[in-house]
Amino acid sequence: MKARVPVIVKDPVVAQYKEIEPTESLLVEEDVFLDGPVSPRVAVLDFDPATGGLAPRVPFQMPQSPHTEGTYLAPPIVLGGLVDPAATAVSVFGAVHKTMRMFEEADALGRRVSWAFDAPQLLVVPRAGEWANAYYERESHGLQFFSFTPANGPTIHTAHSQDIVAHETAHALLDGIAPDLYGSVTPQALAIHEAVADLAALLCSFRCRELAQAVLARTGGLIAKSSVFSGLAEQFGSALHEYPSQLRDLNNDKSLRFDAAPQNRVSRSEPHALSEVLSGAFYRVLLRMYDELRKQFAAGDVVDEAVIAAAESSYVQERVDRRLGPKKTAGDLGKWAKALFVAGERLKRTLLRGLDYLPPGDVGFADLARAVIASDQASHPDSGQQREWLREEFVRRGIVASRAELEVQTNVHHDAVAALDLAALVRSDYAAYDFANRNRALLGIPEGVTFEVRPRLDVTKLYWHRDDEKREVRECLLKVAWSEVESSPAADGLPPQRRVLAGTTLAIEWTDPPLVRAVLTTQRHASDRQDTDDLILRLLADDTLKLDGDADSPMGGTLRGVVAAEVSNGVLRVRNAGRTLHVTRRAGHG
Amino acid sequence: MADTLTVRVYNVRFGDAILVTVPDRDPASGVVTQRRILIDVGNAPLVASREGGDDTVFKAVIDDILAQLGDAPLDLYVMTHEHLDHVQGLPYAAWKHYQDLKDRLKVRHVWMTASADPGYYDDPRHAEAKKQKLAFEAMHAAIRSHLALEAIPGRESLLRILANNDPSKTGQCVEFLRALNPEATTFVYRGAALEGTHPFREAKLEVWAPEENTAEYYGRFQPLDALAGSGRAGDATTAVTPTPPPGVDVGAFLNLVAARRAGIADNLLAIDQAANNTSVVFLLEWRGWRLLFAGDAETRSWKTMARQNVLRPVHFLKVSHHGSHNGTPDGALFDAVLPAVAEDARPRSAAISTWVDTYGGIPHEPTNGRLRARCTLRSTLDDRAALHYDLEFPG
Repeated sequence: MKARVPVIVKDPVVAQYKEIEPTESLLVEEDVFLDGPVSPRVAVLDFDPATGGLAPRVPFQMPQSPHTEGTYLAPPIVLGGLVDPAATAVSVFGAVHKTMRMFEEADALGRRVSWAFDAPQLLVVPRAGEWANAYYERESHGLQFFSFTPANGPTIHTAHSQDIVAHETAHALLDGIAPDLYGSVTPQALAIHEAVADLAALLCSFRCRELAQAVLARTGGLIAKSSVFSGLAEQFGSALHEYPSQLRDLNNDKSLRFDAAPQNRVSRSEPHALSEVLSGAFYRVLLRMYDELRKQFAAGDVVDEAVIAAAESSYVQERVDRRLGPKKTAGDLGKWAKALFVAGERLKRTLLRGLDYLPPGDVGFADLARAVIASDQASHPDSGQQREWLREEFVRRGIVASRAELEVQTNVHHDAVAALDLAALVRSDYAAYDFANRNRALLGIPEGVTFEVRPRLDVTKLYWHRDDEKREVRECLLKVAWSEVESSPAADGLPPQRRVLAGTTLAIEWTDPPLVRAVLTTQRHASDRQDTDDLILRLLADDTLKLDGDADSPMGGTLRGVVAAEVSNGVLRVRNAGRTLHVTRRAGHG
Repeated sequence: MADTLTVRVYNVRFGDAILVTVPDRDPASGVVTQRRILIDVGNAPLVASREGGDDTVFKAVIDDILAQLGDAPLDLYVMTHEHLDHVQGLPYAAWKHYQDLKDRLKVRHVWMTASADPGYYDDPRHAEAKKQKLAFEAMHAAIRSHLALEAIPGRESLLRILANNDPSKTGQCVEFLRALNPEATTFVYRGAALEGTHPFREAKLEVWAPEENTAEYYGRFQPLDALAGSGRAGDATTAVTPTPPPGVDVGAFLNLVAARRAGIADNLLAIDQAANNTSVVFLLEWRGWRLLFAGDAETRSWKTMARQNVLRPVHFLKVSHHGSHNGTPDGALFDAVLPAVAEDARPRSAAISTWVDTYGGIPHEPTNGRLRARCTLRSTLDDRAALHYDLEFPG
């Protein structure tokens, strides 16, 4: 069944002064829609702030015929006007589904993402209360969007910002893809959550046709000039006065290098600040890709295959035509829009598939960088220009010390893998464990260490090759994880050691015989340990990290605003550091 | 025992009442005067018939204090912070048993925590603290209204914390204490001038906490679901228990509703801790002994003291906050006060004033264990029938 859903494009104040249409119309496809809005995977729960009870559900009007679309009956959203709570509920529902679709398309992950919690629906609360914040929380299966009134301005509803909705939905999706990040106390692991969420918000804004066209027209195709894309949640950020006009700016030169210019150095233990290094690297590559495509499309429709393969070009043209219509792609504006669309899709594919390849455990930026390079190599073996730019950015920003650290073996034969019954490996925990145990060397599992095997993924994705049409490639992803113990800082009652997770992803192409697509194992360095020390000490100083019983709530369970840690046999294990993404003293959306 | 300093810890159930008798020698004349400090008298509010809040214990305690004083005046009364389990004993005794209690005590000097000064929050320097305090009081009122309307998990524990922080009841008690000797009442903080605020000639007093600006003791609130009856415009007067809409898993829905209210506990604890952290923490030095009276200082206050570089090893510790883990943080903070290796050969001791089944996590056996590993630990729970126990420090 399909439903036509109006979604707020940019927060209404931004829409007004940027002269952008306030809403876009999205088509959401699901098995069923119920009043709410409710779908099998998303339920909007609009609690009335005055009573705590649920506001009346927004009725769903069924399609009039099998070939038409249903709709939710909410008052229209008018530029600069007040937004009815029912319209907010519908908008946030659409924005969540839009983000989900972007992640799950065949040319991205190629599968439905399972939530990190054991339930089918993400619960979305558009009016969560008064606070300058919004967050995803695994424990309550939900997204919470708050409102606040700055000293000199109207009330800001975070649910009205598509950037923020996409950002929080991306947290939920990423938690389903790489659940270890949420439990990690490694600053870079938490920063990956932030960076991916920011980039997802960026990509969602690219997919808003009206917005993209307006920005391109106003900037003459030079999008680096505008903060509409690179600046996240402008209304929210300016109300907080944290940044000149937005919450975070992706168009940056932030770096981990010690010799970086002072204004580009970031705190290595603060995930929000740290995330800008990673998101900035991807955004810069996106700009380069866009500029390159813009120039090439200006010269003609044939693009250098080092940038995009011919098969991908035709696929892209088909989608662009469908989105914009053939006439609209003819002029400069159309060509710029096409370049922007392709660059955005490339970033989406490379980043999200990189997350699928990311090894489990306490990972860092370098682990993600290797996974991204490997996945891009798999997706676009003959179009390596973007990989080159990515390598340059990763080195330039100190994510890796040299290009050599990004080397990943891809597409290699391995006797044990070639002999695998992949169907059995996917189906049977025993078969997967037995394979991993017999091939510890391949998977980097230390001898004598116990390990766990994660549920295998059987995914089918679209790939492109130089002399090939687009083709579907089936992959099996095997992930194994094991614990390692490292020393902890001597302070404030901390035990002398802590537990961290290491892991490996083995990506196997489902060919006959099966082929090793990539093997990626976490690599933890002394600097990662130091950064983790600093984060733990900061959380302790801030009274956010609580050990054992100190985290217990009189209401049962764990106190809501704390990161709980357990101490067992003198070893510390932090359970939910992902909460720091929204419980830090610094206001902001997590 | 003319040359022995005595710390008498009364059994007031869950609360503090400590009488310190100090043989104070005048360096000029050589005359020794027995001077007495009374630190807090109070216990937990009587909620849900808990023994820890039994107010009948005060009569015998006050009788003993008056007996100890004889005709002598009480040299210094210290109100560490504005919590009922530290302030309600004297007003209760005055209202119930001794209408002339003030005259009998003849208090010469009073120390109260800085923020108990009636003009404290009108001082522009404390604007941020005022903002925080008002927000905390509003939150307290909202939670109180809500708990009256809805049964939620842990309600009894929450009601106890709520009652101990009741600003109106505490306010009456604090007002009584301010009137003990208004002309000789000092609102103290670290760095405040103490000369002339106490009568000691030989013993030295040093205030380690609180800071003058209490804004830094306030933690943050968790956002809450709408609280029924919280007094805001449009609030319901009865609790609304939302029901899951069609198509939404009942268990997941109820889990979400519970999570949205789970911040009540965080916020009540934040309110409680903010007051605890304004505790007057002071060191009494006498003939080589160092005795630390820590009120109910919790982690945030201890960290501030460490940052201000005031922490030093002591021979006696009045264990903070009735023996909670937060009252005696582990690690470097603990080592600074009771290092693993004592600085000298003098025996070290610690005293806890507490009761069972009153607040969750108190007493805290791992904290007791840490204390026992460093010093002799005494507790009002050692002999629950005893009126008090004494610790002596020979001169």
